[in-house]
Amino acid sequence: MTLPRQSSWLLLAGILAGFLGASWQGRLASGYSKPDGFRRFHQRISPDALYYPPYAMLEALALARWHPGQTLVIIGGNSIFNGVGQPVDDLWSVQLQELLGARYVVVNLAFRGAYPAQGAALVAESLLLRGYPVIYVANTNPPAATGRAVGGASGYLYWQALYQHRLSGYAPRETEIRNWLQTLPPKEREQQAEERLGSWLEAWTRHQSLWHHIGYRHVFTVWNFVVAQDPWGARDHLPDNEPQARPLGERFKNLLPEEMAIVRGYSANMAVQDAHQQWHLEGGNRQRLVDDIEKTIIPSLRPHTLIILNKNCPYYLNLLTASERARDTAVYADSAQIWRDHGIACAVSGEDYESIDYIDRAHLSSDGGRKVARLVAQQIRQLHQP
Amino acid sequence: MIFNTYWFICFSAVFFPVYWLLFLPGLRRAWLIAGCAVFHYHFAGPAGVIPIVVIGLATYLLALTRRRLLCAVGIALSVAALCFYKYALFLSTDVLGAVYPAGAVALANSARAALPGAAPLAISFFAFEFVHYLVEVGRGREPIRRPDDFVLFAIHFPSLVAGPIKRYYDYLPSLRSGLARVTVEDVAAGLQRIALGLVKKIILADNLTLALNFYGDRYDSLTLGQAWLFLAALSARILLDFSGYTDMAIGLSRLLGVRLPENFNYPYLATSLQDFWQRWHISLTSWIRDYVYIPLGGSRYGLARQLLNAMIVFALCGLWHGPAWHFVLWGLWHGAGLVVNHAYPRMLGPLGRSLAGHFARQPALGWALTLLYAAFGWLLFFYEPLRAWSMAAKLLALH
Repeated sequence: MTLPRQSSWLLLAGILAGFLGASWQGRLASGYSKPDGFRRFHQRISPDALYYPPYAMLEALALARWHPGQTLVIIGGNSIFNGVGQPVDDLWSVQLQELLGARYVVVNLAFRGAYPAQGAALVAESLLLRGYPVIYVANTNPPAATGRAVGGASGYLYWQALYQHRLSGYAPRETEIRNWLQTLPPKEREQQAEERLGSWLEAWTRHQSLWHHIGYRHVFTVWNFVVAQDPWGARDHLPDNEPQARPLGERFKNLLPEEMAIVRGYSANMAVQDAHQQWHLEGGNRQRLVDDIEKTIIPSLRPHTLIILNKNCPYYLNLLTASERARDTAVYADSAQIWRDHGIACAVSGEDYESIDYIDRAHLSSDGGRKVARLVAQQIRQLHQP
Repeated sequence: MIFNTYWFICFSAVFFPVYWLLFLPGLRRAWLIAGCAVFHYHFAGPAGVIPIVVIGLATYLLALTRRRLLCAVGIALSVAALCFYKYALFLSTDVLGAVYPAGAVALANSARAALPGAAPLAISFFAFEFVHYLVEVGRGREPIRRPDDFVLFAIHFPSLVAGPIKRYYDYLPSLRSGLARVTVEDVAAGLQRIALGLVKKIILADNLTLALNFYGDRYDSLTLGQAWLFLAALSARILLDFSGYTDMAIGLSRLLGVRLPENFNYPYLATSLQDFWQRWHISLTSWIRDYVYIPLGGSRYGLARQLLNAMIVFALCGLWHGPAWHFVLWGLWHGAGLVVNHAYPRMLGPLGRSLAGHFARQPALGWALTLLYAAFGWLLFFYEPLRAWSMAAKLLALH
C-alpha cells in the first residue's frame, strides 16, 4: 500500500485541502442549512433517529423566518410541545402562529425528552443577547422543573452554544454544571467530556454541521430502526408522519398501573399537608425548584419567558382519590407561583381538558393542541404587547 | 471504539506532528513514551494502569535474569492476573458453581469485593505479550535491556487496545527504524490504512451492528431468506469490525514509522478450516500455536494426542475472547472442525483420501464449506448456546 514519494506528498496535500474544504463547507452549511418548510423536529430529524441538529441550525431556523418588527416566539420543552400526538397539519404551534398573527413568528424547537433549560432556551437566550425581540415558551411539570442545560439527548446543544460564544456566561449555571459533572459515574463523565470536546471542535471545524447538512440533503450514513425503510436516504425525503390519534375508546388502555404510578408520582413525594389538611409544596421541593430556576434560566430571559405546566390526562386523574387530586392541584398551583415569583409567566394547562384532548397520559391530541394554543396565545398577549 | 473518539482525534492532532518534527531519535523516543503513557492513562484510568505497571515491571526485571525458573514465575504472574481480572467471576460462578455451588457463591462474593469495576484495559493483550516475551527469553533469546524499549513494547498505543499481538524481536528493530526516520511514504501509507479501517469499522461494521441488534431481537419473525442474510451480515460484521480496527492500529503505527504484523488475510477466501485459521486473527493464532499448541506436544505424539491438543487449544482460544461458555463452545466448534478436517483423510481410509482429493481438485467446494462452517460458528460467538442452536435450526429449516 506504499505510494512513491511524489504521490505521497500529493496525497497528504489532498487530505489537508480536503479537510480545509470540508470545514469551509461546514461553516457555510451552519449558516444556511435548515429543514425546508420546517414545523418541528419530527421524529425522523431528531435525536430519536440519530439526527442531532447542530445548534447553528436551530438559530438559522429561527432567524430565517424573522423580519424586523416581528417578535420571535421560540418554543422549547419536551414531546408535549414538540407536538407528539398531533399530525403536522394540526400541530399546536402552527395554530398558535395563526392565533398570534403576522407580528409574531412562532418557531417550534422542542425536542422529545428535553427540558425548559435546554436547546430552545439557549437559542432564545442567544437571540435576546443579540437584541432580537424574543419570547420563550416551554412546557414542563412540577417534578421535572427546569431540568439542566446539559445531559440527555439534546444536552449537546449547550456545549455547542457555549463554544460558539452564543451564551451569556451565566456563573450559577456554569457552576451547577461543573458540580453535576463531578457527580457522574466515570462512563457518563467520559461521555459528557466527549460531547463537550466534539462541540469545541464543531466551533472550529463545523464537522457536525457539514455531516447533518449532507445527511439532510444527500445521504445519511447511520442505520437506525426508526427509518429502517430508508436508512440511507436524505432526511429531507422523510415526511413528518406523526399519526392521527386513535379513536378515544382505544386510548389509555396500555400499562394502566404503571401510568397511574407516574401520575401519583407527580405530587406524591412533593407535597405535605398542613394543620388544616391543606396540601402544599414541601419545603425541600420548593427550594429545589427555586434553585433550579435561579441556576438555569438567566435573569435577562425571565421576563420574556412563559412556562406552561402540563397536567396529566383526566382519564388518569379521575382515578386518583379526592385527597390525591387535591394534592396534585396544590403542587401545580404552588409550583406555578414559584415560577411567577421569579418574574417568569406561568400557567397550568389541562385543568379544564377532557380525555379526548389527550392521546395518552401526557401528550395532547389535535383537540388538546388547539386548547393549549389558545392558552399560550392569551398568555403571550398578556406578557408582551408589540 | 477508541480511535474515533474526539479525545483521540485531538491527541493525534498534537502528538503526530510533534513526533514528526522531532528529528532526534532520543527526543522522539521520549515523546512517544509520553504519548503512550497519556493514552494508556486516559483510557485505562489509574485502576487500569497500576496492575499493568506492576506486572510489566515484574516481567521486565524477571526477564533480565534470563533464568528459566524466574521467567516461569513471571509467566505465572501474567496468567494469574489475566485469570483474576478477566475470569475470576466466570471461574467461580460458572465453573466452580457447577460442582460446588456453596463454595462458588462465597468465592464469587470475594472476587466481586476484590475486583475493580472493570478489568484493566487490554489485560488479555498485555498478558499475551508478556508471556511471549518471557517464554522467548526463557528459551534463550536476548531480553530487552533498555527499560524505555520495554515500556514502548508494552504500551505501544496503536496496538494497545486490540492488537495485533506483537513479537518483541520484530517490534524493536521496527521501533528503532521509526525513531530514526519517518518517511512521507510511511505517513501516506498509514493514512490510507487508517481511512480503510475507518470505512470498514464506522461506515460498514457499526451500521451492520445497529441493524443486527434490531433484527436479532426479531430473528424469529424473519423469513428463511432474511435469516440467511442475517447470518451473512453477522459474518461480515465481525470481520469488518475487527479487521477495520486492526487496519487503524497498523496505520497509526505506520505514522510513527513502526510496522505492526498483519492480522487478517482475506479469511473468508479460505478453502479449508486450517487455511481459515492461518488468515483469521493471525497474531493470536500464531501466539497460541507457539506458546500453547507446540508446548502441549503439537503433532509430535500421534494423531489422537494432536487432535486432543487442537481441542484444548481452541477451547482456550474461545475463552480468550470472553469469560462465557458460548465463547468456549465457539472455540470447540472450530477445534472439532479442525480435527475432522485433519483426521478424515486418514480415519476414513480410501473414502477419506478420495474425498480429500476431491476437495483439492474443487477448491470452490472447500471454500463454500469453510465459509458456512465459520458463519455458523459466529452464532455461537455472539449468542448464548440455546439461542444459537435455535437460530441455526431456523437457517437449516429444522423448525
